[in-house]
Amino acid sequence: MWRSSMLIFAALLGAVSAPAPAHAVVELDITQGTIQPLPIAIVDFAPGLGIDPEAAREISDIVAKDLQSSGLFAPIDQAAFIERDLGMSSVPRFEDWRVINAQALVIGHIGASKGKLRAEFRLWDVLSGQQLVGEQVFARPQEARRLGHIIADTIYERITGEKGYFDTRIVYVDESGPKDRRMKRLAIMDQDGHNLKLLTQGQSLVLTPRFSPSTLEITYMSYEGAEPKVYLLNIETGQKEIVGAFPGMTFAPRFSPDGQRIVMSLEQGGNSNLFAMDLRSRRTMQLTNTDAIDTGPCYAPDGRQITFETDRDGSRQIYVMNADGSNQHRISQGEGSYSTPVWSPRGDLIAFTKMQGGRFLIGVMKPDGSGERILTEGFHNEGPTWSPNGRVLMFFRESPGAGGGPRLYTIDLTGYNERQVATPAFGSDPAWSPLIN
Amino acid sequence: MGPSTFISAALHVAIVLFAIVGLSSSHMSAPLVAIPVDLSTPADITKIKAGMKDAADDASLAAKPEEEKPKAVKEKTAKAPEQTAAIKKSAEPKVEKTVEAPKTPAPKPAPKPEQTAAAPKPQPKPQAPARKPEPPKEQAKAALKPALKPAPKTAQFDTDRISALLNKIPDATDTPEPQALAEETKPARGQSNGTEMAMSVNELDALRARISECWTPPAGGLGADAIVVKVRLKLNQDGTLEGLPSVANSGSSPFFQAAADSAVRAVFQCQPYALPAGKYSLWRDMILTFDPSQMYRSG
Repeated sequence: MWRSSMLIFAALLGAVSAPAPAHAVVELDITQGTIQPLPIAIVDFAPGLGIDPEAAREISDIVAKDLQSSGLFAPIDQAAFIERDLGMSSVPRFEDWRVINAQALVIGHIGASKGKLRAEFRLWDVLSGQQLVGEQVFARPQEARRLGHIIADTIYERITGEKGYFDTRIVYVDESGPKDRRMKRLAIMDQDGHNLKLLTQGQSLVLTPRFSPSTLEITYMSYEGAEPKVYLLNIETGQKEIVGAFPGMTFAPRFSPDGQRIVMSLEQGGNSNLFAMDLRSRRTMQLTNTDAIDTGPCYAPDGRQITFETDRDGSRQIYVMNADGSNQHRISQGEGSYSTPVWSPRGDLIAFTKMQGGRFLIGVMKPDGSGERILTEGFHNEGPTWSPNGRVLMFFRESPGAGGGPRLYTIDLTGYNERQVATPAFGSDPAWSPLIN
Repeated sequence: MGPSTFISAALHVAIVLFAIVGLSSSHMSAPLVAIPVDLSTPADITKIKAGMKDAADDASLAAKPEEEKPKAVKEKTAKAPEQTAAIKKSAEPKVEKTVEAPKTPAPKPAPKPEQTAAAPKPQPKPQAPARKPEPPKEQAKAALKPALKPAPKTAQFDTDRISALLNKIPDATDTPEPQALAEETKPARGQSNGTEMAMSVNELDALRARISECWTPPAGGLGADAIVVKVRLKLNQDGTLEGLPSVANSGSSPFFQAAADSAVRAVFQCQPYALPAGKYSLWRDMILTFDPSQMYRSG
């Protein structure tokens, strides 16, 4: 007892004055961050021999605009720059860039090489003073803008860890003329609205164009013949063909992720079912067989499942099934009706249009129907399409009134970064291409 | 049995008395059970202590390194061109690689970090030993004070985090501490018992909040929210980074590099760190775990 008491006493004393391990390290968990765009300084790209300085500057301007449009970067006004004569081959005076709160710095040079344009650029981490990227990019002179898009993609990927989506194109329906006699033509343009090209001349109505994974072909529905049919068009050659020899109206086509098949709706006797057609063998397979309207099919990125809309339950809802048509089950559970489901290229979400209380909403849900989130709403929103990295949706929004019409918009997954896409006329039914490279 | 029980009882009584005497000087005359009150006080007390350190000290410390820093950077710029020239050369051959498919990765100039790492180091070290001679006195003073108020101290220990307690003990013996205490005890305003052996909860919270403001994790990437990055950093007494922070873990996710970069950027962006000068030995070496998993709602 005595001994144990002494021990306790000693222990008590020890607790007060115990010597201790030599070195302490503070360990701290940081579980909250701030979501804000990264301040990035983009210096005008310098022109090499025989390059118009204005043309060189345009490339860096494209980089800045692309990055800014993502909402994840905030290009710094060039008027604030302190270091003015920064060349590609010198290390920046980082303190000059820290002072203006830049966290990243881009410098570049445009030159010519064997009939091609060559862009060299470096991305510097201003805070640590390290080079993050140093690359060269080549393009044909007529594709000069792509240099900017590719550089922006590279920077985006290095900073966010995700693939970019700037070197991409949009195919959509260009709409012109008065509301009751609207001319609808197939159009293709760069993701930022430049390099617009019309693919059809407007003699017949076109709807729902969709890119193939190769980005060289599109499929769409057109009223060209006696009946509306699904067509396949090669963008480069202009070659066009009808997909499948179906005895009825076909619509809402979409490529499988491997580009080997097209899945679409076939209307017969007032109801419509889903079919898939193999583009090589031309064999077709019926996937659904109901007396309802099944339409808007879209493959999952792994090609194993298909999401679609159907009114078999009374109102339009979103379903998912296996690619062979088995295991059809409803995933949309909220109020209102759901349509135009589109599977995200990264597989985690399905985007949709939702009609509720006279309003049109664009939202996303998980493939099991959980986690529904509305990103934007308006008088008439419709037709979402995913950026290839699954981070941004493009859709069209119709404005009311006699002079109103559809315009293209983008919104990112946060629901905060909404932007209108500049098009010369009204535009609807956008489809985003995969990355061109 | 008998005598030992008595002795034991006597000792226990002595301890209890000791504790009561100690406690009586504090505000608690109620039973010892009232300890839970202390849940908030340790932080407050440490806060008061933290408030004691005069700002002048901090300022003077902060000024010096900043003056010197530019020099280091200038050296960098002097050397740098060579590096980049080297890069360029190695980049050239790849030019032909792709004509249509544009990306031609060029090697990075790695050497840079070492320079920055090396530059700041010399500063803090000389300072610490320089003041060494003084501490003993202060140490003595410091030792006296806790002796006078042992009871409240142990009460704090009880309620404070155990991990914090463990942290406290080590640094009592660290050499830089006494010197820091010396500065603190002069303008004694709160109770200065010289045994600030841990960062208070409030100090840690403030630090956490500050770094949260500086940190922009790569948001929205699929699986990016599951990436945890550990960054180890060492600080100079003026709260600036001593050398480059290092990433202490690794990951196979494509987002890991971006996540690690964002954490390192946050650490850079946040300097200089305004931390209690008296506890430099505690915060000179830190491991920060950046974990964004709680930031995002599902979906």
